[in-house]
Amino acid sequence: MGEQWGFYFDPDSCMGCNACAIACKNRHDTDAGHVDWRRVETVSEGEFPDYEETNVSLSCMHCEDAPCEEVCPTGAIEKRESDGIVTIDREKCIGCGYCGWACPYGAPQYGDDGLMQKCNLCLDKGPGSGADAPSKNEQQADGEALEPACVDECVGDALDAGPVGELLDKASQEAAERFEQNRTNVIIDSTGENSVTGMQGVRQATEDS
Amino acid sequence: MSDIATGSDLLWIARGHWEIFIATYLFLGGLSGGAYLTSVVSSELFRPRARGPDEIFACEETSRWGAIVGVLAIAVGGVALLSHLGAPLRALTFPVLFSNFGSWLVIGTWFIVLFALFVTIEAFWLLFGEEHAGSEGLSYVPRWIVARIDDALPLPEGWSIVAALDWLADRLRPTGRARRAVHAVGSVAAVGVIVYTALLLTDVSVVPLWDRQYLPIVFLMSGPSTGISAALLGTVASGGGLSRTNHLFCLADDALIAVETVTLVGLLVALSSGGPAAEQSYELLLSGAYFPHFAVGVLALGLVVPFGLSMTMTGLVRFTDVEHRWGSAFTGGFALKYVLVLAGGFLLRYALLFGAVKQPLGVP
Repeated sequence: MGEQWGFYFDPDSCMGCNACAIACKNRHDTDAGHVDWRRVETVSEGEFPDYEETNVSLSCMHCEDAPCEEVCPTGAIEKRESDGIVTIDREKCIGCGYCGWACPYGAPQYGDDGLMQKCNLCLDKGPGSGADAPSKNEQQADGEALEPACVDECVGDALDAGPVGELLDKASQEAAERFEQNRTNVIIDSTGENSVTGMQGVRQATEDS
Repeated sequence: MSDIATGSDLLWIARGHWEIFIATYLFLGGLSGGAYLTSVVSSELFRPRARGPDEIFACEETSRWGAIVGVLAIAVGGVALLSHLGAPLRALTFPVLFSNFGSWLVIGTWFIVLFALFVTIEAFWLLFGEEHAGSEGLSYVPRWIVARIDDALPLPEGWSIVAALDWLADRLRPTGRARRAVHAVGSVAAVGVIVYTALLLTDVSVVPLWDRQYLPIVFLMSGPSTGISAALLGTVASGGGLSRTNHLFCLADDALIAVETVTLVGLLVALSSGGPAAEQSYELLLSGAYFPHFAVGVLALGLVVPFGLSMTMTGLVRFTDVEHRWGSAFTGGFALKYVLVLAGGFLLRYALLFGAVKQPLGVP
């Protein structure tokens, strides 16, 4: 198994500007409007004057036990051993929408053609690209790895991407422990009060029930 | 997500990947399997014990209607399923393309293929053959249609599609133990189709409404219940509304309705305290956007009213002689019951799809 790649996200540094989502759309030329490989959601808590908002930048979590892969009838969805990225081969996709229901994060998107598309951690450009791309580790060794557009355009350095081992080095101990308890390939960190522990915690609770 | 009351500090995930075509398909899949089971039970259990020409006629009509409804429902359901897909033509290559046998969609597809084969053969055997030539009964409509096609086509003298089908049916139709074995395998496939439509949903762990403890039982009751209703609606239309066959199937349907109702209540109780998404589904179904579909359409008109109507008519048949004096009223009553069960069965799938809410992500 090759080194696993993933995202790092710090909600305390996210200002909710949507630059990541727009950059992703531009890079992959996705359908306007309703197809969002990456999106920014704002979650509110409390009432004025004790009111807080947390911005969350969400895309595919590239889960270790990807539920979308488990339900896909054709095997079009693959959790790659070479780099841990979950890809979709649109030549095999029948557009049944089953993966959309199975995903806890709302990552699978369906464009005008009805076929699934989602974040491929910028293995390549465009819907469905990356399914047969070389490992991100190989791409990096060859100096050909694309930096994910969302990371590239993030104004507040809230997003990062890379081998999970490297990302864990910059994460807090709490975030690292959380990650070990429920391994997606996204490390969610927080240095302040706005933590998104529940993003992984809820999924854990769902699976335990 | 506009139809749910989103609370604070929760990140709600979009849903609604399946539309009315899938609700239709789930309904017709269960109905088709149930109709085939009705046909087999009528042929294997009721027909051998039937006494008198009227009772024999009712049994045979029920068998035929069950098989015909089964074929039509699985065919229309299959089209509904395909029409929802992004690449329907690609899906037709399923023997090669569907490689993930851990997916219920793949397991279900093979159940459907096997079942479609058995139900089609059963309908063929029940409609064609020398013994059926000149037989009376509304369920012979498909045979009548083929005969009209026969008349319309410029076939050579002495050629007839009906005669050819009769010849073929008589040579392919097994008898005795072999026929029972075919019915047994077909019934296993029918139950597979009915149950898989539930397991397809319960395999999605992030939707509490699709509870893996309750939903398979609900579908296992609802499928045969709607199948009985569709097949016996045909029998009633054929003039068998006052037959013992109809009464027995109606009582069996009542038992299914009772178990289904209790199971649905259990599901609702579990939802009422099952966390944010479960509680949102509970609200949607019992007081929110899908109150008319679920509370009124499923619980009241699809379960309670048909059960009450059936119990009332059964009591009157058992303890009075009004059935013979008011025969047409009873026939209408049975027909109404079956129509309500069918409508409720469809609305159940509709409400279960559209009332489904995904577990939100917590942002404490």
